Amino acid sequence: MTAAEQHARNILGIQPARMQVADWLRESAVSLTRHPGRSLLTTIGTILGAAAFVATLGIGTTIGEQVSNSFDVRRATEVRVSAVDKNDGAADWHGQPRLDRLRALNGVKAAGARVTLGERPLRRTLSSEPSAVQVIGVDAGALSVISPHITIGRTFDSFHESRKTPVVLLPKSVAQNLGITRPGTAVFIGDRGFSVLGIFDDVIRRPETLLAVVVPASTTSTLTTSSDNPEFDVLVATQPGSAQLIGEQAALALLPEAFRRLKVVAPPDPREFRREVEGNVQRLSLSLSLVALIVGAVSIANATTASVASRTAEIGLRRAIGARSIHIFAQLTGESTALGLFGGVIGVAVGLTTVSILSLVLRWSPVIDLRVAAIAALASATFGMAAGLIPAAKATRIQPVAALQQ
Amino acid sequence: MLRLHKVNRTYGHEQVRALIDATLSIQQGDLVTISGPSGSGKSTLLNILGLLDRPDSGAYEILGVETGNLSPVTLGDIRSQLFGFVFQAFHLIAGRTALENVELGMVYSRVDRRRRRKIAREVLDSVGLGARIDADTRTLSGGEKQRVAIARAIAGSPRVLFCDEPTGNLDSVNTQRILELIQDLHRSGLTVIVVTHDPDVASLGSRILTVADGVVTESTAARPAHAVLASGGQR
Repeated sequence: MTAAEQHARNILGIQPARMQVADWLRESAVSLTRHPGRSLLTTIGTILGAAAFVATLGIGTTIGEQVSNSFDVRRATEVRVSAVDKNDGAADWHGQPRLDRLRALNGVKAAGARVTLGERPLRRTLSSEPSAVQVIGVDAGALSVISPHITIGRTFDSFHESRKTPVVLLPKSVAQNLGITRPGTAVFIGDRGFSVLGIFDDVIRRPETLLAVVVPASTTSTLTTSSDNPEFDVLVATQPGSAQLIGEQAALALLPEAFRRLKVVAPPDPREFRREVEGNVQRLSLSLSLVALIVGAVSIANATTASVASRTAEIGLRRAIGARSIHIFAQLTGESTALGLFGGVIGVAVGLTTVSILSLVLRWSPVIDLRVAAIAALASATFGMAAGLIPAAKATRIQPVAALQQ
Repeated sequence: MLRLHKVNRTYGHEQVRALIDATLSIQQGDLVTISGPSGSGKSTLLNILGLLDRPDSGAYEILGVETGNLSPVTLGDIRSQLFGFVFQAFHLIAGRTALENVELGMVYSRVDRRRRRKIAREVLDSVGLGARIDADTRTLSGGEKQRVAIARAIAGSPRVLFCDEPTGNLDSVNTQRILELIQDLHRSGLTVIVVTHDPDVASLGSRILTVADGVVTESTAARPAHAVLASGGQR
């Protein structure tokens, strides 16, 4: 302001016009609340955009959580440790004291040794025709990891293991081939007799067990010769979510002096898997939401332009009674921002309701990040503000005389 | 208080001369009526006096301050704080109450909301609309709308009240009430400038200006303004 201008103001006794923030907010909100129906129609695009954003992200997160839950229960609780070199001389790496150390790790539910002998002839009597079947020896811990579902008879335990009792568990398919329907029946592995202790039809872990006969690990020495090269590994069942950690610690627990000679296989991190699922869904949803929000912004821009045209006289009046260009600009962008926010809030409510109803129907636990809701509402408001910039700038050029003559 | 010297204003491509060498002076407390046929330039004169429009040439002083070099922002502040406007078409904001419309006149002039509300109530009461402050202006009669417009114009305690055909959209009863209100405001010390094409309304002025083809002339009032006001507007 020039000195001459300030001097003129002093003589006339006038102060710079000022619009309080509260008045600006009130003026912006009034135009919205006076015509709620029109506001709702104007913001349909924004509502759809925000609803799509919240709903798709919410559904993506919910699905991801659901996938991860299933993953945890079925597969993500299993770790397998084996020697890098099958012929490694460190044959005692799966001995009991080492297994006890492994079992002591936080997150281990069960752990035990397994020895895979390879195929052996199996027959009901020494005179009958043998069939080749995989033979697996497990200790009580490994059997607990595999958790066979016994349909007939019972499973063996540490008593059978310590006494090297010649007992065997048969998968249902093998038992049917041999015509065995009850426990106590004798079968021959090679020329060694074993008593069938139980028959199982399913396992929780290690599905290859469904094609093998299972004997106590201590009895496998009676089935091997010096030329055999059985394969040893250690099976571990973990608490949900602990598999990756146990995977990192198992080799150290079993063979701290040479842990690199052991190979550990743990399932992929379910969180990574979930993030991948969510990421795919979110990329799609973000694209769709962006399109909807742009449509919403165009809708608000049209409405604001129409509003400026229909309110030329009002804008002229405001200029006549002292409103500066910045006041007109602020009010109109405030109105379009309020429209965007209004649409965003309604859209968020619609999106949250959609996720909740879908989860209810599918019996899922809805997982909703409230930050997503806040982002949707703020993004809608920002789009609304952007949509109002050009019409508001045009409105500042309205001259009071021309406007008041309308 | 207000002084025009050789002010000219031309409009459009055809260079229509709406105001030609207009020269006049208006004193504090005057009740000036500006009359003339449609298109004569009387509204142009009012717009320039009210700083709603700028002359092409000539000088316009307010309280001795030449306005030609002032910025649009300062002109807006002068309009907001020294002037009040009443229009033929009322120009109330539809969908808002009478109180909110009156408050609007003070939104841009540094009056806090509580005080604004108090003043708006008092002013509406003074124009006889104390019982209708919360009425949506769409439900008001023409006379009531114009009284709300007058209340809005005077709520900011202006020094000059500009009225452009204030009774142009009113019936005779409401015309009489509005004129009485304007005379009351003048009697309270307010400078009032009224544009009208109605000779009866024009005759109420203590000073009567006539505009014809852009030329402003002043005729002597039939009676001095104070005498007119003393008689309650009865001539």
